[in-house]
Amino acid sequence: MKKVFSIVMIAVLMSLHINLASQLPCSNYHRQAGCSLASEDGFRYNSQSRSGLFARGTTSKLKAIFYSGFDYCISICPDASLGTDIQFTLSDAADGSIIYDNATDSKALSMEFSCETTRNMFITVIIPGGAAKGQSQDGACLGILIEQMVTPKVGF
Amino acid sequence: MKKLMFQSVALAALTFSLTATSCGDPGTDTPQDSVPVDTLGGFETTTTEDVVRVPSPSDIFEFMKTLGPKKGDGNLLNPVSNEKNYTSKKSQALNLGVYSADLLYASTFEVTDKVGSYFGICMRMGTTLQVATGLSEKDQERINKANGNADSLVAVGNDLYLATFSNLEANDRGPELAIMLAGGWIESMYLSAAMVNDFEKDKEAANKIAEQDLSLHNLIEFMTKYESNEDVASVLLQVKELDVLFDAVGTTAKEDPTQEDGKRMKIGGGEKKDITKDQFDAIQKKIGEIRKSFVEAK
Repeated sequence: MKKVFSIVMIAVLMSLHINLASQLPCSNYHRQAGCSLASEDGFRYNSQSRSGLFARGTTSKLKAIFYSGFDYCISICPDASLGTDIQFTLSDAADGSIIYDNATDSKALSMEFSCETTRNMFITVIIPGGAAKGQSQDGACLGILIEQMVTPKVGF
Repeated sequence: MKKLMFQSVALAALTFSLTATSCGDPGTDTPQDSVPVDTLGGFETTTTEDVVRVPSPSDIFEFMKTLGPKKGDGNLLNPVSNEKNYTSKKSQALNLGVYSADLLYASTFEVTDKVGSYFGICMRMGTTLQVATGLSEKDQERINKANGNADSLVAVGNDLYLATFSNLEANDRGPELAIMLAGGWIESMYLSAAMVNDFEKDKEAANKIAEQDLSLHNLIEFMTKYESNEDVASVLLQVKELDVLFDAVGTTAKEDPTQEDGKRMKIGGGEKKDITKDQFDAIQKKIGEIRKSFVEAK
């Protein structure tokens, strides 16, 4: 009987890590209401979206595929504690060339685009600042929401 | 003594379970794999490891659907009867990916009579693999109520796929996720390639298949992180063989400049694919072989 109880207890404890991790606060941060900054209705969720825990002074890159024939909207949703001075760029994954930099767009936290050809691109997010040398600091959630819609046909 | 033994084992199990959540896949919820630390103006700056994404089967099917409305072929799907054959962790993860792609294909291309059964299989296989999707029988009811509405069916299928994906990712189950992604990607390609019936007439569709070389590169990059796992390594070997065939496809550089179009930017440049019939046939054959090995795995 004790053996059965022990096995059950161990199984419960082993399964704890699934439940604990799935409750981590950042995993679906990009799916919260208000994250999308799309300029119009009709955009649909793209599965390459991602959230994570960020600290000031962090640079993070996400590599994703963008198909020709679609319009995309990328929205950056930071927790308020990360500040508003967040830089994000879009660059070609093959040669690293910068395609968009929000530093030249009033630090906008969203951008919309379409691609002439299917592209593999990096979305780079840079949180300025950082902890003083040797000091630790708290992290906060940031989401990268990617949405897409079929590019509307123009003309007859 | 027995009591002490039990407590020790239980403590070890708890320690493992907590440790398992705090290390592993980069960028999930902790900047844990952030490595290079530089100092800039007295502040420490950190660069995290790159996160690589692979389009979901739904993304791939939507891309194929831009060619125009199309009705899918339910006979192409991995039969429901195969479910009982998947007894190893590898075959279960592979075919959870395969069946997820089948579900999304059936939803997207209006094979509506198959959606319910494939949703059920994905739920059961998720349970077998201990993936907590948070979805329930109520979601099965959503399918019944969708009454053939393609958008609603795609939404339910996507919810299940994304919940499965997120749960594996959030729990640092990288190897299983890598294998599931490979299963889903190969099945998506198998079903997409079947849309090319007459190469000359369907060349646009064939070139769309060829454009998936980029998503294949991302899949390979993602899987490579977990190649120390022998199941991942064996699947990785197969998809790398396919990658060689994709890389042989010719391209034409596009020179169009990037333009602003109101609020929306039009990104020019890149490469346009130009696949030949022989190249397409070779890719389709290899995809078929890999897919066969997946669905026949035990």
